[in-house]
Amino acid sequence: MAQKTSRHWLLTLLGWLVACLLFFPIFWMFITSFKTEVAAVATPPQLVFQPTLENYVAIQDRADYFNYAFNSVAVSVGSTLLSLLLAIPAAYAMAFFPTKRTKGTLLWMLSTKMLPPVGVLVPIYILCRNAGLLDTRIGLIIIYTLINLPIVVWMIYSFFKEVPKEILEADRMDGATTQQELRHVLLPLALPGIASTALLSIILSWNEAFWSLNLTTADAAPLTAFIASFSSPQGLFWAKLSAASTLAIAPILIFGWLSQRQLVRGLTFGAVK
Amino acid sequence: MSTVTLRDIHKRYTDVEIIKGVDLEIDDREFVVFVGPSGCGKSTLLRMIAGLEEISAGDLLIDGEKVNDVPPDKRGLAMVFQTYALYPHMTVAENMAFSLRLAGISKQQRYEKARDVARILQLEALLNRKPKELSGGQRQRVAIGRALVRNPKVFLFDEPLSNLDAALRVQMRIELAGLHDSLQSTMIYVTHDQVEAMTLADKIVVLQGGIVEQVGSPLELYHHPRNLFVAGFIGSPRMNFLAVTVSSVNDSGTIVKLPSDARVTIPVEPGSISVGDSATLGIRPEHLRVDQTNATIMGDVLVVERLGGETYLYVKVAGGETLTVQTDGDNMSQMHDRIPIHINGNLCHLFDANGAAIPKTYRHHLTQNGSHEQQHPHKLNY
Repeated sequence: MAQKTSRHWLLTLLGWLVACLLFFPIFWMFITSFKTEVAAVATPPQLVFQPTLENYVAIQDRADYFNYAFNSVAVSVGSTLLSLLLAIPAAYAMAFFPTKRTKGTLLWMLSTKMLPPVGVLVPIYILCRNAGLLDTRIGLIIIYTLINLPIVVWMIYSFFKEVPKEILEADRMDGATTQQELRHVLLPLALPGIASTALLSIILSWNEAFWSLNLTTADAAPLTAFIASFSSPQGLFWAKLSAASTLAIAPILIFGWLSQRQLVRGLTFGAVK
Repeated sequence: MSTVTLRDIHKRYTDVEIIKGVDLEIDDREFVVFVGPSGCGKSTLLRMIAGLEEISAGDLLIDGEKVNDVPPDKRGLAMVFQTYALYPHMTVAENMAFSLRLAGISKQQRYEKARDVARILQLEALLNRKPKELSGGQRQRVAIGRALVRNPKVFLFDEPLSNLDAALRVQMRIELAGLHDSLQSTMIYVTHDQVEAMTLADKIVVLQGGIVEQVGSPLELYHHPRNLFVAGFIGSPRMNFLAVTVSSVNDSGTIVKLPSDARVTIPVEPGSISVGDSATLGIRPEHLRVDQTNATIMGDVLVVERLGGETYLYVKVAGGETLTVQTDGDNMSQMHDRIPIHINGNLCHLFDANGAAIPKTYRHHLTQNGSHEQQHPHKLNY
């Protein structure tokens, strides 16, 4: 018994350590955003300082935060909706009407995630330019959809696989069409999974920087571009950069925190049944 | 009227044939049970009737109309699944009325219909519960209710009781028999449990390896099995088999010689077997008797199983075979006893070297009128 308790404590301690380790950079960024530029680069680092809001005022003067934030929301929600729209029928077909090639197709889809994005930068850039999609939200939505689609299909596929086959047979006996089956039976049953997939897709899109920095300049630039605009090759910019980063990640952090239960439930769906 | 006709039904997956040509006639209001060991194709056959599996070849007719390509819900059938397959996110009422909802029936009417059915199944108090709040037996009732709501021409049951515990299974079995009696509708029921088959069925279809071994009333199968497989499958404990040689054949019966040299006269028709042939004698445990004065063979008791009401003796006889003997609960036999066993030839079955039963010279009185029998290509005429 005593052994069990000490083991329990050790695990708790380890958990907290890992959590602190993961949280520390965010915490440091957050407090740096309230320092002056000089205090931000001071060695040794200052834990006690006179907080200031000047960085926030300065960045709002230089760039319109809400414009960037709107782009981030539009692009991540838009691409998530589009991914779900494509992934749900795809996963439905793969989960319930598999062919010999289904497994192969799934693996192939996932393998596209292993390609370094920079490898296709030039062709995608040229395609976007020719299609008139550079610096447009639609362009980013399409790119993000394509990037996240493999993961979204995989996740929804695995949630659909958890739904007992007999339940679908029962609804077919009851007279459900494919659409009715999806709407009344499958989607309600897989809802926790679909919700967590959507959350993950939003977070991934929100945090995506490579394509947003390369394919947007002003009109469609999301918050990642907003952060990048405060980094410069010279001069003091750490405090402002931290303030910009804090503003950029705050919405998704709050969103993630509010939905963490859903997220965890979805990601461990079926693991303990 | 709801009849189901299967004509040379086949089911093939790419390289294997699961159902190898089944012909079957299911009459209106009949309770038909498909029974057989696992993997015999009984569930596949049911699912083909339901429309959940495609029919590779052959015709399926419901009320005389070919329905091979008719979708499941348009066939007028309802199915009860082994795993209940209730919609977990819906209440009992919603589960039962889901088909009505899909058909566009108003909420009020749906609820009324669900309540009517719930009354029959004693589920009224549970209408607003979710499936996870129900016991196994209640879930099974909801699944039956879901089928009832649709007023189907034919009910299909796929091993509906196998997830229930023994006591509940007996209770539900009785309820199902009552339901069939009150609804007077055609029912097709799949089970591997031969007690369910014997007790519920008007007609049993014994399947093995994708073919029908025999179709007939429960007592027909019990008293006149067509072959070794059916003889061994129907009846519990299973029939005893002894290797014998034919020593004389005449009109009144065939005399066979047991490994112990004892002779038994079995009243089977002559013609299909001749003197010197090897054959198999079959006799049910309940037809063997421990009898001092009339012993046919002697045997050594290996194991005694006392069930209270009856006792099973496992007895090793000459030739090395073990016979199961069912005696009354008060039987005094002990392990290692040497006991005399009487084999009544009139109660024996005789099978030729290919395992086919040799027709008896008489029919059992309970199977004579053949009320549940049908013309069937696989069936021998005795």
